[in-house]
Amino acid sequence: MTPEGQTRRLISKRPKPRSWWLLNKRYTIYMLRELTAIPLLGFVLLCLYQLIKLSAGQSSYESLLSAMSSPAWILINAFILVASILHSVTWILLMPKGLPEFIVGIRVPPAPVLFGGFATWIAVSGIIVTICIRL
Amino acid sequence: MLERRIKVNVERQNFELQEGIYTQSYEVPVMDGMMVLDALNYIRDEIDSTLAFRWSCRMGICGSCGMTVDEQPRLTCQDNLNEYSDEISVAPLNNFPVIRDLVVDIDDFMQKKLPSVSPWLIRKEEAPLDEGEYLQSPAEMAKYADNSACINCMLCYSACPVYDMEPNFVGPAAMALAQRYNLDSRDQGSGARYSVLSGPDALWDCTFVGECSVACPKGVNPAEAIQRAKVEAAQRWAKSIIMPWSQK
Repeated sequence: MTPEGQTRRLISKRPKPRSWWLLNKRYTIYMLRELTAIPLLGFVLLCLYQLIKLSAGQSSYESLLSAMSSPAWILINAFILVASILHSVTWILLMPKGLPEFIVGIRVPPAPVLFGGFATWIAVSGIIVTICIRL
Repeated sequence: MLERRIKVNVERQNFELQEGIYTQSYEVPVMDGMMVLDALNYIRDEIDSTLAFRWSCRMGICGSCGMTVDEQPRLTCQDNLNEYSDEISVAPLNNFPVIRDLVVDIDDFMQKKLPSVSPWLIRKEEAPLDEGEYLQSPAEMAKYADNSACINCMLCYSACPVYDMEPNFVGPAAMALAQRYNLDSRDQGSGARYSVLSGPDALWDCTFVGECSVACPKGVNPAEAIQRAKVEAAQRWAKSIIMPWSQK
């Protein structure tokens, strides 16, 4: 045993560049998914603002609706849509790792889990879109 | 035998001369089937005896030769040079303090993280010896067999961005090994382990990057083990709220 202080040690880790998450595709996807939290938060706040306007009466809500039909707002909403699709798809792709791998003693392969995840996601989205269009 | 020459760029340190980190290049003759570790041994035997790196078994079971090869965490004794171009970079594992050249300080994992999850069979009361061994069916063994393949090489810690940011994070291998014993039909210590896993710096610090499972050279899936433990920990918590009297 060497008494403390006699060995020279670098007590720091290997320096990592700030762009570490760009060096590996999987890190990049992970960081992008985490970043989608910001547009998703923006969408929630927008919905709350719509509710406030709605409670303030018809004219106030309709003025908001006409403002939101501007190209800038459509662009913002399209961006939020892309972000939420990215969030959902990358999460569903992780699902096989998160679910119990055994159901009644049989190992579940990833394919049915992925199929179930995507099918449920598309079905629920389809129902919501149908309701919104019908209303 | 056909031979090619590759350039091995090794990240080294020189603390005495205050130069810090520098790259030293070596040219190594490579034969078919040589591993990255073989190239390093060639360098130390034939070119530069001052190069420091850690290795022992050369057959992927001791877990001591983990390094960063071309910026990926790899077990160098299992890392075939045929899969690389004629120039490779070798650096110490990320996320660990460097002792010298390619040797990192593994005390944090070995002394703190690993023992914190009690990775051994816990019995409330040991059965007397004359009752024989604790029997287990192949189906019961299959539940934890994957997780038991861990060789403590720490590549998963090197791949984990959470461990980099949060040094107190218990980390992938320790939690996969906790699950290895939690899922063992002979074990009775999951309650004690879950009190560690549900606490700070454990399960709930994992943000599910999933890179630990990609890095593992032994087919262990720590990401899955952790997510499954999260489900179990949440159920235990809910049960403790709804049925407080059920607490062991």
